[in-house]
Amino acid sequence: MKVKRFILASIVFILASGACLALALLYLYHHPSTVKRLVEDYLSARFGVETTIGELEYGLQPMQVHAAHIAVRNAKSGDDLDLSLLRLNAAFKLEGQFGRRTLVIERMALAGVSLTAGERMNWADLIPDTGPPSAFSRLAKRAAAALLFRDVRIGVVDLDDGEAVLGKGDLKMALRRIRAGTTPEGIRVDGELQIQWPATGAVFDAPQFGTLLNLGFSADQDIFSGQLLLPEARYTSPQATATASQAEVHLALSLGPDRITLEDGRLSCRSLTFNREGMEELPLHAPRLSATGEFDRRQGVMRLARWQLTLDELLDISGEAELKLGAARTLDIKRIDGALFPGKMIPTAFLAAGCKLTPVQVTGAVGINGHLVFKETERGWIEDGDVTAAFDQNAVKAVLGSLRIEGKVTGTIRGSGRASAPMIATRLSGRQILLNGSGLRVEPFAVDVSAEGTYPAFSIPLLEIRVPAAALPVADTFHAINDLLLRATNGTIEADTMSLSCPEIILTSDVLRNLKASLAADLRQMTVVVSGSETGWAEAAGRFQLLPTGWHFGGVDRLQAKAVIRPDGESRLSSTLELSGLSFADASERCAGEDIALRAEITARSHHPEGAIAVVASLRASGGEFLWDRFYLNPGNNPVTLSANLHYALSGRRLQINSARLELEHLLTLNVGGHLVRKGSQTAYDMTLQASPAPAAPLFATFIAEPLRYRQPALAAALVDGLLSAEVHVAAEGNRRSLRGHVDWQSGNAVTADKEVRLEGIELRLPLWYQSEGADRGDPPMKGKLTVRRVTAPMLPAQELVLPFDVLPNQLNTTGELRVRFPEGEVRLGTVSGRELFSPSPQVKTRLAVKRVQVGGFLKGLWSLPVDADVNGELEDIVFDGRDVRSRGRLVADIFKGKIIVQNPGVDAALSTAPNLQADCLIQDVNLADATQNTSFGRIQGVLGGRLEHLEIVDGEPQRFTLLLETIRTQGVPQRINVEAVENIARIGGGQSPFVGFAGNVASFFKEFNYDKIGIRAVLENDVFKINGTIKEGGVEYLVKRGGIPGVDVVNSNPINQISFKDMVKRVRRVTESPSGPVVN
Amino acid sequence: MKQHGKLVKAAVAFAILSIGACVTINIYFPAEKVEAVAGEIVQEVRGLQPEKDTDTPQKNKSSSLKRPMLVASIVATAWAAEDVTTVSNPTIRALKQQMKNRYPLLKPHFKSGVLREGADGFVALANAGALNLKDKRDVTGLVDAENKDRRVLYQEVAKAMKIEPSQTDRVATIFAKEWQKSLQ
Repeated sequence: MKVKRFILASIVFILASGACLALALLYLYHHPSTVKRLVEDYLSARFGVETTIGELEYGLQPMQVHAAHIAVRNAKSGDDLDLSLLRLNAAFKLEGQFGRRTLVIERMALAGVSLTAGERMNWADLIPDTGPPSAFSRLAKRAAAALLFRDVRIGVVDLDDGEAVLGKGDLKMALRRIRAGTTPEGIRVDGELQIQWPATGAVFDAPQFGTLLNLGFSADQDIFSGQLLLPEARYTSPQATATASQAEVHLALSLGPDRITLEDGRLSCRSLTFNREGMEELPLHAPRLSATGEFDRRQGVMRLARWQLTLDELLDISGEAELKLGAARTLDIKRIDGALFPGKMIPTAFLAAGCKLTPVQVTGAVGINGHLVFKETERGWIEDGDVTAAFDQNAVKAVLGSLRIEGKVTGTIRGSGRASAPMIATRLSGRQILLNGSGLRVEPFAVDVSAEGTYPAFSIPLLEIRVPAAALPVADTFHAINDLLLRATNGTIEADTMSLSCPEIILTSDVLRNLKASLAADLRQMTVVVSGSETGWAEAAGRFQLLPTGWHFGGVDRLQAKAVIRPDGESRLSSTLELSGLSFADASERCAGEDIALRAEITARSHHPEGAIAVVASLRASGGEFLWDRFYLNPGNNPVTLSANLHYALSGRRLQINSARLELEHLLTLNVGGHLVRKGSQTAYDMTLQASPAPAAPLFATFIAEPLRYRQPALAAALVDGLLSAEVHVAAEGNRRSLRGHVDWQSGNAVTADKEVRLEGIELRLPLWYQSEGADRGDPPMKGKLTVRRVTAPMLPAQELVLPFDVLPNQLNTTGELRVRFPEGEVRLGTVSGRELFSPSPQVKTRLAVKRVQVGGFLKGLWSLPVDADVNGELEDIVFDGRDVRSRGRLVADIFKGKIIVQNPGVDAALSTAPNLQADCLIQDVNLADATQNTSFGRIQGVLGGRLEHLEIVDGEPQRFTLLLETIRTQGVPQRINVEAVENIARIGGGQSPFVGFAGNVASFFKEFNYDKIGIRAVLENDVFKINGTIKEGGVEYLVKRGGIPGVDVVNSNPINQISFKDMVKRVRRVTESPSGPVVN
Repeated sequence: MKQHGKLVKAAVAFAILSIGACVTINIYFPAEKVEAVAGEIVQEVRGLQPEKDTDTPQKNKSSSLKRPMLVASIVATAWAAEDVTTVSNPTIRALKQQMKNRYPLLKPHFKSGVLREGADGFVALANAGALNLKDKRDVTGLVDAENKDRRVLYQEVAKAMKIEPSQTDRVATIFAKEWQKSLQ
C-alpha cells in the first residue's frame, strides 16, 4: 500500500510539476521582457558580467530570436569589459526524437559587435566556477536534455563589421573589420589584427587574417577546432622586424569543464624573415611548430605532451612542456630531443650577427637533448635548464684568414643553469684535423679539449693537440718535426674580462722536448713564460737548418724566458739560457768547442707605436775549450764575456749598437759601437772597434806562437812583450767598404829564440786603412811610425831603428830611408811602398843601396884567411808579390883585386819553409894568387874570370847553378899552378893525383907548373854535379892546359863526369879542411 | 740508288773526319821511377832506411900518365853506378829533414788512429774524437805543416824528374801508397 501511495504521489507531483513548467513556459513565451530579465540575470550570475538587452523578441513558429542593443559589462571591474551588440537575429529548430533532440541554430546574424577589454579584465573570471555538479543540477540538466535538446549545432552565423579591442598589461590587441560567417567547414572569421606593446614600441600587424572555427557543444564537452590564416604579418620593434607570410595556425581543442585538450596545435608559415639594423636579412623557410596537450583550467596549467619545432633545416626538436599560467607564469620544457643542423644554423647565426662570411662550418646533425625552464619573476623571466648538444663525427671547417682547419668532431657541449650564468661543460675531440694555409705542412692530427664553467669563468682542464708529423718552413725548405704534442692543462677563461690563463703547457716532439710554458692573456697584455731543460734545441736547430750545414751541437741546456706582450704598449722579454757541457763542431772540426759552460741573458723591450726594440744581452763562457782553426782558447783560464746594449728600429731595419764589449779575460777587451742598417738584400754598417791596451805576450802566445808552432817554429819561439792596443772604424754601404784605424805597440820587445836578434824598446803606431775600389780616396795619408830603440843582430853593431811611414787606402809607404849600419859600411833601404795590402796578391816595392859594406867577416866560414871585400851596389825595383821577391840591379864585391858582381838577386817562395835565393854572378879579374894564397887548396897564379848563372841557394846549400871559370891571360901576371893545386883540381874533378909512380918522381923536381889556361865548367842540378873542362884540343878536354915547361895538363877523360853534389862537398871539404893541404898519394 | 750513294758518301766523310779527329797525346810519366823515389824518400823520412852515404867514390883505375908531361886524368866516378832513382836537392833535403823531425810527433797519432795516410798523398784526420781540443789544435797544426811540406815536396820531385806540373797529383798518389805502406 505504501508503495502504491508513493507511486501515486509521485505521479501527481510530476504532473503538477509538468503543469507548472508548462504554465511557466507559456507565461514566459508571452512575456519576453521576463525572459529578457531572466537571461540578463543568468548571464550576470553565470559569467559575472552586467548584461543588458535592449530588445528581445522570439517566436516558436518558426523558432527565432531577435535581440538588439545588447551590452555586456564586467560587473567586477567596471569598464574593463565593454561588449556591445547592435543587433542579433537567430533562427532555430529542433531535430531528432524526443529526448534526443538537437537544437540547431539555423542562422544567426550579428551586427555591430564591439568588444573592449580593459587592463583589469580577467578572462578567467568569465569562466564560471561551476565546481562539481550537484545531483539536482545533473538531474535538471538531464531533464532539460530530455525535454528540450541534448546537443547544440550551429548552422549559419554571420557577423559583419565587428570590432574588438583588448588590453592586458603592456599588450593592446585590436581586431577590426571583423566579419564572420558559417561555412560547411565551420565558422569563418576575417578581419584585421593589430597587437601593440606600447611600452616597448613593438607592434604586430596582420592586415588580414582569417579563421575557420568549428565549434561543437554537447552536454559532455565542447569541441573547438580552428584555423588561423595570416597571409601577411609583421612584427616590428625598435630593434628588429619579423615578417611572416602565409602563416597558419591550426588548433583542435576539446573544451571540457576542467580541462581544455589540445588535440592538435600547429603553427607554420611559408617564410619568416628577420631584419635588424646593421645585419643582413635573415630568411627562414617553412618554420613549423606543433603541439598536443591539455590545459588544466583549474590549475591554470598547460601541459604539452608533445611539441615539435622545425626551423628551416636549422633545427628539428621535440619534447614535452608545461606552461603554468597565473601570477607566476612558468614554462617548463621538460624534455628536448632532436637535432640541430649547424650546417645552416651557424651561417644563419653569423648572418644574424652581421657576418656574410661564416668562419666556421659544421655539417651533419648535432643531437640535442635536455630541458629548459622559464620562470616569470618580479625581475622578469628567469631561464634555467640543462641542454646537451652531442657531436658525432661532425665535419668541421673553420676559416681564419688564410688559415683553413678541417676535421671531424665528436663530443658534447652541455649548458646548464640560468641563461644569465649558464654552466657550460664541453668535451670535444677532433680527429683527422687538416690544417692548410698556415705555411706549415701538417699531417692529419687530433685535438682533445675540455672546458667547463659558469659564465663568465670557465676552466679548461685539458687542451691537447697531437700532431704525428709536420714540416716547418725555414728558409724556403721544409723540415720535419714528428710526434708533436702540445698539452695545456688547468687553463681558465674569464669571459667578462676576456682573459685567458694556461699555467701548464707542455710541448714535446721528436726533436724539441721538455718544454714547459704558461700563458696568461687579457685585452691589455699577454704573458708567456717558457722553460725547459734538455730541450734538444741543438738537434732541432740542426734539423731546421738554423745552424750552418755540417755543424753539430750538444750539451745540457736550461732555458727560462718570459715575454710580456702589450699590443698597444711596451712589450718585454727576459730570457736566460744556460748550457753546460756545450760541445759543437763544424763539419771539418776546424771550429769546435767542448765542455763549455755558457750562460746567456737577454732582456728586450719594445714599444708598439715606436716599432723599436731595445735589447740588453750578456753572454759568459767559462770552462771548457774552444778551437777555431789553430786558435785555441780555454775559457776556464780566459773566460769570455760578451755584453751588448742594442736598439733595433723595425721601420728602418736599423740596429744601433749603443755599446758592446767582448772580453777575453787576461787577454783582450774589445769595445764596439755603431750601427747596422739592412737595405734591401745588403747590410750597411758603421762601427768602431776599440781594443784596450793589453799585454802583448799572452796575445802573441795565444794568437801567433801557439797557432804557428809547427809552421813557423822560429816565429813561434820568439819572445814578445809590451802593450798592444787598437782602434778601428769599419763601414760599408752598397759596394763601398772601408776600414780605418790603427794598431799600437808600446814599450815592446822582441827577441828570437836564440836571443841573437833583439828588438828593444819598440814603439809602433801602425795605421790601417782599407777602402774598396768604389770608395773615396781623397783624404790625406795617415801617419805611422816604427821606432826600435835598440836593434842587435849578429855581426851588426847595436843601433836604433826609426821608420816613419804614411798609410793611404790599401797602401803603406815609408817616408824615409832605413839605414842599417854594418861594422863597416851601411845598407840603405829606400822607400818601401806596399800596395793592395788587403788583396790576395799584395805588392811591396822598395830599393836597396849597399855602401862599402865590408863582407870579409861574413866569409870567415868560407875562406880560411881573412878576406878584404867591400860590397857596393844598388838594387832597384825590389818587388815582393806575396810569394816571390824580384829585384833589378847589382851588387859588386871588390875582392882579390877583382870583382864579383851579383845581378838581379831574388827569392822564390820567400815566406815558405824553404825559400830559394836566386841570382846571377859575374866574376871579373880575380887575382888567383891572392885568392889561393896561404890556402890549403894550393897556390895558383893568374887572373880568373867567369860567371855563375842560375844560382839557386836553398837552406844554405846551392841547389842549382852553372859555373864557368876561365883564367884570363894578363900581362905581368904569371900563370903558374903548384902541385897541391893540381892535385886538388884533379881530386875535385873526380880523378886521382897525377903524381904517382913515375909522374910523381918527375914532379918531385918541381913545385910549380906553368899553365896556359885553366877552364872549368861546372853544372849543378838535381844534386848532380857535373864538371868539365872548357879547353878542347885534339879531341881532348882539358881542365888545365899546360903552358911551357914544366907544365901540367889536367885532362877530363870522362865526357859525362858527374858526381853527387854531396860527394862533391865532401871532396871540397877534405881538400879545404886538410891542415897540411892536399895529400898527394 | 741515289739514296744508297748518299749513304756511302756520308760514311766515307765520317771516316775521314774520324781519322782526322784522332789526336794522340802522349805524356811521359815515369811511374816506376817515381815509385822508387817515393819509396826511398818515405823510408828515409820514416827512419826505415839509413840515409844514403855516397861519399866514397870508387877508385879510378884508368888514370895514367899518357905523355912525358904530367897529365892528370879525370874519369868517371862511382856516381855512374849510383842508384839512378835518387832525386834530391837542397829543397827536397830540407823538406825531408823537417818531415823527419816532425814524424816522431805524428807517429803516435798514426798508431792511435787519429791520423791516417790519405790516398791523395796527404795526411788526414781520421778520428780526432778522442783528442781534447788543445791536442786537436796541435795535431791540426802538425797536419797542416806536414801537408804543406808534402805539397812542395811533390812539386820539387816532379820538377826534378822533369814531370809536367799538371802531373803532380799523380806523383802524390804514388807517394800515398808509400806513406801508407810505411805504416804497416
